[in-house]
Amino acid sequence: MMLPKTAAIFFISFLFFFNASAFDTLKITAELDTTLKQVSGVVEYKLPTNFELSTFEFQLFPNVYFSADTPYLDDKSGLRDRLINSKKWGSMAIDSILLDDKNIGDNYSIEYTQGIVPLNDYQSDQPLIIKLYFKTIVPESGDRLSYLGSNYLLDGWFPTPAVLKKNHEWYHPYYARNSELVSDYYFYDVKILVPSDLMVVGPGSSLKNSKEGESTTEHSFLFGPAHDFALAIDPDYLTEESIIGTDTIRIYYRDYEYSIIQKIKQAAENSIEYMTEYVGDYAYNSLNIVFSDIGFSGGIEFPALVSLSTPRGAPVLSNAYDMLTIHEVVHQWFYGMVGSNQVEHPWLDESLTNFFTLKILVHYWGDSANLFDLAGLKTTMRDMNRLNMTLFMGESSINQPSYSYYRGESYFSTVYDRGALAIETIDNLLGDSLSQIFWKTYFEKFKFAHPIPDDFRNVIVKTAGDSLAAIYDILIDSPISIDFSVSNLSNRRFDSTDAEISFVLNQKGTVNYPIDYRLYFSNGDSLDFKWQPQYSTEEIVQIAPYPAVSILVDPDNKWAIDANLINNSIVINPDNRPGFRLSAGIMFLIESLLSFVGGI
Amino acid sequence: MIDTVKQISRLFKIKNLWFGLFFLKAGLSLLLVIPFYLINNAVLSSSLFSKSLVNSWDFSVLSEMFFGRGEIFPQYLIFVFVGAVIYAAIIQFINGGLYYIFVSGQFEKIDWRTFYAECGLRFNFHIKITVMMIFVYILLLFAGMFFVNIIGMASGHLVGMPVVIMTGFKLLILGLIILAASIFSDCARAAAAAYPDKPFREILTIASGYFKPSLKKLLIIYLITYIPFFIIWIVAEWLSLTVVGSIGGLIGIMIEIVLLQTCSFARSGQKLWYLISFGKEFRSKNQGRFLPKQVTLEL
Ligand SMILES: [Zn+2]
Repeated sequence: MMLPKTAAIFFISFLFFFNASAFDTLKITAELDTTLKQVSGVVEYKLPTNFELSTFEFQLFPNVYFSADTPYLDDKSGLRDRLINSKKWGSMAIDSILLDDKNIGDNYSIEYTQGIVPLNDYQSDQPLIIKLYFKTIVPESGDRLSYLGSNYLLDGWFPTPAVLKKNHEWYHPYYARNSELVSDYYFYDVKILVPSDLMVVGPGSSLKNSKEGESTTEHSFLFGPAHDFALAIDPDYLTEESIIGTDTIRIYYRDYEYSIIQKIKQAAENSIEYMTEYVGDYAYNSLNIVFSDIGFSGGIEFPALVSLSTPRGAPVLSNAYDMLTIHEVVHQWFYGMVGSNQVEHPWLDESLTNFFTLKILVHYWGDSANLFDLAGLKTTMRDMNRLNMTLFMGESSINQPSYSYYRGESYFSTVYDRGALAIETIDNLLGDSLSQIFWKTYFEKFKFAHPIPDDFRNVIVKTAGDSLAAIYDILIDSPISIDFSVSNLSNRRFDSTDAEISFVLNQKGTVNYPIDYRLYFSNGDSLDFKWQPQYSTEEIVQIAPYPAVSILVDPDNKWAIDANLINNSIVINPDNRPGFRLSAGIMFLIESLLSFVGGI
Repeated sequence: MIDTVKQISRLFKIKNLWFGLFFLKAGLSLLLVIPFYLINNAVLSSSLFSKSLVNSWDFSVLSEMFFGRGEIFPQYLIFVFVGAVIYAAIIQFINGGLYYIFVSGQFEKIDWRTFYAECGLRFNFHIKITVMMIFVYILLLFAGMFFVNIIGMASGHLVGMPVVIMTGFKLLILGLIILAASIFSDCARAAAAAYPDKPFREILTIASGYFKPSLKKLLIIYLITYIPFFIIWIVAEWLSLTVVGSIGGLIGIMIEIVLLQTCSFARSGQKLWYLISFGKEFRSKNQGRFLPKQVTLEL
């Protein structure tokens, strides 16, 4: 049965208010002024009544773009230079604050992104209604909050309540380097007035209402529960739609971006299909993917909304945009529906998301060249993860606040690359039988909640016991690098029928967990063993009817985190061909270099 | 143009020089690659993981090798860089003789004694040009980037394949700028061979006087000699990937080496072929000391 659109919205609103008891509602009424590049409006919020609060606190995210020396811009030199050049800084000002419709005057304070309203004089049994009248200046061009020409990306554009912790204290995320927005889950009731020639894309769908003779249109959204509400606005968006199961994917693109939307659609479909099956249902039923003119190449995840930068040549030469799309779609699960704190524990969303990105790429694109395949050079996402992982190995642990990484590169290579491989290692050690149980349990338990690392660890303990949790402690909580290796293989005649095989197993970064290794014999057979390490180096002696020709440690590549895979095996008869071929290739490269510098 | 194509037959008359220059390059590269082999073969030969290198340029093996051992890789790059500087210096020595024989046109029967004498005499001069050209290249690269960026701005909304084409186009323009500079250095080197007694400044004046009107023609000559080499290069790369992927093993690797070295040999030939045509062209405008002896009438 087809419902008229208004009826559908009423139906959704009914469901929405029916649910409203579980989450607070943020009511936002605002207007976008495209001449002043400013959003102004009011946020209405009902304070909880079941306990007393001495303050009401709120976040003013746009102040991260306030000047060249905010902590947020500290490590973003490209963004900072752009703002210095354009001189169009971003900020948020509060015009007035009403408590139960009484203006509190200037009885509040704002520092950077933190706003505090004292509530000392307030006594009542009725829920206190707070109205924050705000004015946000959109920077040109920022990252999450940004405009360029008539393209807008609005995130953190309204004042959000700070996070109210279980102990009834307010928590403000520290918006410094590498940080993203952190907030509580709300139902959003948003009305925004935008010039009628602009198309507005938010989470889910909106109801449009324009009065005769007026140049603006009101867009109404009812959406939630979610911990953020972002909008993308552009005059020239075209739409492409596809349905996967019960979910609708809508892609908003400009005509010049048409050539790559099929790839992006495919990647989004595959991701939703895989995540629904492996982790849990997508709660919002629709996912909007928009192209925004943000000042970097990449994507940004928002609840039920993904923003991608205009892809340049990358999709032609590689699957980089497929990978990016998968990553942002997977975030709908780890970030969107499971709301971990990106500022304090970025790995809980980024490492998990990148792990599933890797899994989905391998599942649909294969594992031999899922990223890049040109002129005989094949590269996979895992190759890139492993390469990046080594760059900052041993410096930071995966479980650190996002602002604590001293450089963006160290943050990305630790949290995204090493993080994904660490999660993959844990997932491999869980094994096929427990992996899905683990992910479904974790997802169901923390859906629309805010898990911390210990919650993740507890699910590991529940699913697989303490020994795997000990591995978690090493992989996630410590900066050490792990490397298994085998050396000194030799065979000796033991008696008339048997051979004595001896070799040395080593591990760097001690883990107390059985390690698999495989012996290959001269007759073509192989046998698997487990090494229960007690020391970092142990000599192993085995008696077998045939001498060993090679040994391979971790034959099923469970330890994705292993720092060096070349030393995981040893052969009795050295094979010089790989080294020979590589050297011949390098020699040709050197000759080409000499030709270049010498001209001959 | 047709004349340039015809000159290729004369290239085969200087096989000794061609082979000599190729072996100089290949020999030095071999010396530079031996430490690489010694350091890495020990690691690769005893591992099962590296086996895939026999059949493909497996990125996972390469990245484990180079980046897993952070300290050795940069040190080796410095080592190769030093080798390249030494090679560039040796070539500046040889350039004295090379430009002498090609500008004079007396290369089919090389008088090696004169050749080496010219090498020694002109060494300082060629080093000077090289140093000057390094600055010119750096300047041009910056200027070229600026120019290319302006083109880039005009292509603001391009996505997908057009971006790749545009990037190729930008690189082509940068390449042409660099090539023009290198042709200018050829002119200066040729002028030095033709006018050995003139000071540096005057030689540059002669060179630029010749360079401006002849640039288009010289660019065409360069491209005509470069295209066959380029085809050989692409075919050699493609063939070697095919051979290694299908035949594989030691035989595949040997065939690959032959193909790659053929390619390197062809590159040396390309430069000589270009110099033959370039020398002829230069001589037709600037004879200098290579002016044929005039018959004087005795009255
Ligand atoms: Zn992410």
